[in-house]
Amino acid sequence: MAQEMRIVLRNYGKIDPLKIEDLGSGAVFVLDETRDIVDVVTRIAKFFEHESCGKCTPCREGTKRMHELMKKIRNGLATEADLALISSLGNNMKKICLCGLGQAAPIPVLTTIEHFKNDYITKLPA
Amino acid sequence: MSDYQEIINRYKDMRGGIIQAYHAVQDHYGYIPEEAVTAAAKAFKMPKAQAYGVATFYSYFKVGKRGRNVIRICESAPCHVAGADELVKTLEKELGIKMGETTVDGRFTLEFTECVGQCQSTPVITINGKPYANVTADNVAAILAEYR
Ligand code: SF4
Ligand code: FES
Repeated sequence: MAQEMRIVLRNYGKIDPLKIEDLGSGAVFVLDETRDIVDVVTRIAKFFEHESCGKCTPCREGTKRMHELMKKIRNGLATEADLALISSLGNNMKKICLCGLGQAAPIPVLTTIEHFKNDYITKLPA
Repeated sequence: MSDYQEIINRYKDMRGGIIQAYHAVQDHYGYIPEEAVTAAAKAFKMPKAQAYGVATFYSYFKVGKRGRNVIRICESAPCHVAGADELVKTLEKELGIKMGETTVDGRFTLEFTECVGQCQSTPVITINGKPYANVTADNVAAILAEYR
């Protein structure tokens, strides 16, 4: 079951236009508890796999493996070890991907594992 | 001279003009013919693999024939939770083809797209670049009728 997720809304209007790369997309996506967060994050992982430009390996390979692991979790085929693996992969990508896309790609995975851990645990086979 | 050759020639002296050339070719045919990629490689003096790489990197370019009307179903997260999967099934059934395919009469092609910026009224499809919002199993036939 979902607990909470904190969102900081910045005043985007006041951001220096030269620093537009700090902006992110500014999107807020609201889901109620009837939604399957693991399924939604799997879809977001697919988005990043598609958007990766392929220039650097941690993102090109990482987004693909991340999507694979998310599908495995969503389909109820993953183990605790897969959860540890996807977290470690995500933390590495945050540090070593070349540009902001690859660095941001693991954030939905990592933050939902942090804040909605139970939703992931219940997907593990009994 | 073939149409695509003539179009490509217009851009061949422009630096990085291959992308503009592909846009113009696609505007003309609705897609990029395989032979146009070979012609572009020659015109822009690059290996065919590289010209093919440029043509296939961008989701808006399509190498190889497709239908006159291109329907793209948004499958990004907001449209996904709004039932894009159902819409895929409905459109596949309505047109008798699978995603990625073209109807035998060459009228429609079904493709996926990522977010097209209309998330306020999901699910969304585009037909030839024109967005349609709040598309459901009930109103999709009426939308398609405009293009039949
Ligand atoms: S991190 Fe950036 S440069 Fe590296 S593959 Fe991803 S999108 Fe390309
Ligand atoms: S997610 Fe479909 S239009 Fe934005």
